[in-house]
Amino acid sequence: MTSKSPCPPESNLRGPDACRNMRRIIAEDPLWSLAIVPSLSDLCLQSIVGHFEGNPIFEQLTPVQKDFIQESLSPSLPLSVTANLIGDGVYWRRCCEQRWDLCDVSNYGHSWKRMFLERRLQGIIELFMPDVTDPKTVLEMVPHCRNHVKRLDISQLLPPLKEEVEYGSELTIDNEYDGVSMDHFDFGILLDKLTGLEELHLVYRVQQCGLNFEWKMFEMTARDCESLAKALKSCKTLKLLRLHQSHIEDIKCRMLVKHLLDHPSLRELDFSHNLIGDRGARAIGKLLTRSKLKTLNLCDNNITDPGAKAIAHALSKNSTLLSLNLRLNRLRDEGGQALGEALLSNNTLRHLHLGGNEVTGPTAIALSKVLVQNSTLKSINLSCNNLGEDGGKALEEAMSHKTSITECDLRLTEVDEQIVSFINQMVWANQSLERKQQAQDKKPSVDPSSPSS
Amino acid sequence: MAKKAKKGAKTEEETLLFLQQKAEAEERMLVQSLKDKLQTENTNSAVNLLHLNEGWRSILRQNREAQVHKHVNVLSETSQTQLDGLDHVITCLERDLREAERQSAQVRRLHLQHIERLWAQQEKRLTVLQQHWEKNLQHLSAGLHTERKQMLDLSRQQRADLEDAKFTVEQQHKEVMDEIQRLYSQSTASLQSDHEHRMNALVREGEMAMTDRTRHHQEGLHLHRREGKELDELVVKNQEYVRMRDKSMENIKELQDKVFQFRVKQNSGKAGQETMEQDLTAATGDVNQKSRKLRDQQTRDRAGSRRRIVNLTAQFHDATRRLQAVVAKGERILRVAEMCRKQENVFTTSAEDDQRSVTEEEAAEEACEFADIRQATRRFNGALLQRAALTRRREELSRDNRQLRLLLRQRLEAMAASDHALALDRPLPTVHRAPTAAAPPLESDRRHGPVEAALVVTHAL
Repeated sequence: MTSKSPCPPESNLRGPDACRNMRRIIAEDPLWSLAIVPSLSDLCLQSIVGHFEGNPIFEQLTPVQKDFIQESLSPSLPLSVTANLIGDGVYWRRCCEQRWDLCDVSNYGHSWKRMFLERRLQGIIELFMPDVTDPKTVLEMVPHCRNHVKRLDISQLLPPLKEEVEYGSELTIDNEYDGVSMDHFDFGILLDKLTGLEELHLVYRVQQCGLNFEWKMFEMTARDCESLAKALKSCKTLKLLRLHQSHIEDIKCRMLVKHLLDHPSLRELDFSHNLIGDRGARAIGKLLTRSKLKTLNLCDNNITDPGAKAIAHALSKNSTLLSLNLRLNRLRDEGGQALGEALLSNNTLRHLHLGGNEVTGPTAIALSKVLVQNSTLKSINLSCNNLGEDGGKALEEAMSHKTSITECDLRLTEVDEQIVSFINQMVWANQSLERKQQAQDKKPSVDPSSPSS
Repeated sequence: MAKKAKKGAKTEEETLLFLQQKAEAEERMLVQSLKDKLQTENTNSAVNLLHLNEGWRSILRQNREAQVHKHVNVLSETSQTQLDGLDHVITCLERDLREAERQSAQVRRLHLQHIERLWAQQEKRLTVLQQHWEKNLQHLSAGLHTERKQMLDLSRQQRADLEDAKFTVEQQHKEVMDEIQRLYSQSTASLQSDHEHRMNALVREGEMAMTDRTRHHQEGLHLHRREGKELDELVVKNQEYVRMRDKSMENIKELQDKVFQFRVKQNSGKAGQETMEQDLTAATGDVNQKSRKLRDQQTRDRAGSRRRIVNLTAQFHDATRRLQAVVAKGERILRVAEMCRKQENVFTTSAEDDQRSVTEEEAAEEACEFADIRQATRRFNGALLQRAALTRRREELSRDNRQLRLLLRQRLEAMAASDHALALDRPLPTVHRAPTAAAPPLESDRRHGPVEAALVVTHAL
């Protein structure tokens, strides 16, 4: 708000008449000033801004006018009007900042529009209550965000409202039939329509449940699994699927895998923090052979020796997997040894994480054989396993050869300090070699006149 | 006989022992039998006791059977319920434990996920910062490198320019230095020659002047001495005159007395007045003659003294003129000496600047010349001092001259007056003092004394 006197300073000389004529005008628009009469184009733009919903004129304007409109347009306009009309810019930034406090646009590829649409869709899905919320709310968002949504990071999926249990037994039978149509949001209606979706992060859990805590809220049901699996199959552009901490057991895992076999674009699969056992692991082994997965994360599941053997078998034949994370499972020595043997014939895997698997000396010995031979394995993590003296010595002996390991994590492995330090030295030597190699590779592209740092 | 007694004693001892042994054996037997009896008694009593206990127990058992049964039932039931309770508790705990484990696993999982996310974000931020830093570093190093290059080129250029300039300047410097040296040598040579000439001329002049001055001094000294002597003579003469005057005064007094006596005699005896008068007139005539003689002498003396004064004054004027000339010469010589000194200084300084080795000899020569000049200057200084003294003396002499002139005038006036008066009152001539000139300055004060004394005397008369 500005308060300006309409008379110029010279008018003070006029005396009591001037005092009577002087009025204080308080303008609500900081840009308004009596001295400058707004031009007709400004007035038009203001009216456009005011009536944008009914008459969206945007394309015909000049870039300066477009900027002005973006600055002054109300962020609460419906997306049907604005989504396809206004490109990425200040307007979407204002929308984001009005809606959410923390806006880190670098996570969304530095595009405010993408951030707004993705977060908006995520919000709608997260607040979707089965049988209460109309799916249309989701579907009507789709045409607006189809081109911009690349990632959906959904952090909660609400279960249906719990109806009161009636004591009449007849009614309960009826209720069972007339139960909820879906246990959580059905992605089948959404995923095939999002043509640009590349990443899907899902957790079946409820945030802020308060006193209404139930374990069911943190579990994915079989029906959900089925619908999700079908939806995933229909989404042809999905590159990353992360379904963690959703109480997925073998059955659900198998169902999901069944639908993910031969998926054209899936490259990363993350089933961490679930309850996948050996059968699920076997299914995933099958998936490894029949898809082009690059990253597999099965951290914190229940995989034991047979599962490990299945995965190892798939690994020995696989040529696309770059990173395998089997941390916090129960592989034990048999599983570990199986993996080691598989790695002898695998030459694409770069990262292997076997931390916290109750793996001991024999596995270390097997892996040390791999280290000597393999030249693609770059990072190996055996932390929190009781490798013992034999394991340590085997690894030391392996590292004394020329390996390609640039990262070797042996924390809490009960390995001798000296061995650990020796291995670390070798690893650092390898790291520096790698850096030099990278610098040399970069050199031809660098201008010879400028100095190298 | 003793052996038999002993043998008898021995057999008695043997029978005693045998008896004792028998008694002991009997005792033992008794003891043994008693012990056996005791034992049997004990066993019997134990057996009886056992019998009794058994009987008692069976009776008790029979009585207590029912009660014990009831107790057992009750106890078993209670223990069963306790077991059930404990089992229930155990199951509950198990369930809770499982829940808790699940929850803790959940929490740990979530924690792990959060930590991993935070770690990933941290890594991202670190890489961004590192890239930023490296970019800036490269940028800075590139900038510094270019700057360094520029500076190097600039400095090289400047150095080249400086060398060229230095070369030209050195050339110019050499030329200028050669010219300067040439000019300097020329000027020094000319100056030296001039100097030498001037020095020689000055020295000669100085010497000549010195000789003139010394001669003049000597002449002056002679004159002074002569005049001193004359002054002494005049003083002596004055003194003589004074004495003569006194004498004449006395004579006058005597004469007066005589006159008085004559008058008296006249008064008393007019007879011999004429002779007396003739005597008187003769005496007065004598006196007049004497006075006239004295006057003539005085005038002659005065004239002589005046002539001498005039001569002296002329001589003094000559002397002063000569002295002035000498002084002028001396001043000139001094000026020349100063100039020589200045030139010497200039020479020495210029000599120092250009070629010290060459001018050292010149400096030595100049020093010798300067020694002569120093002597000359000393002589000049002496001459100056003497000139000053002479001027002072001249002043004093002029002062005395004036005074003497005044006195002479007065004297003349007085003489003129006294000529008239002398006829009557003052027959005696006044003695005029010849004004003394060229008297030593030390006696100037004393000179005034006699003059003033003369004045006083004349006035007194």
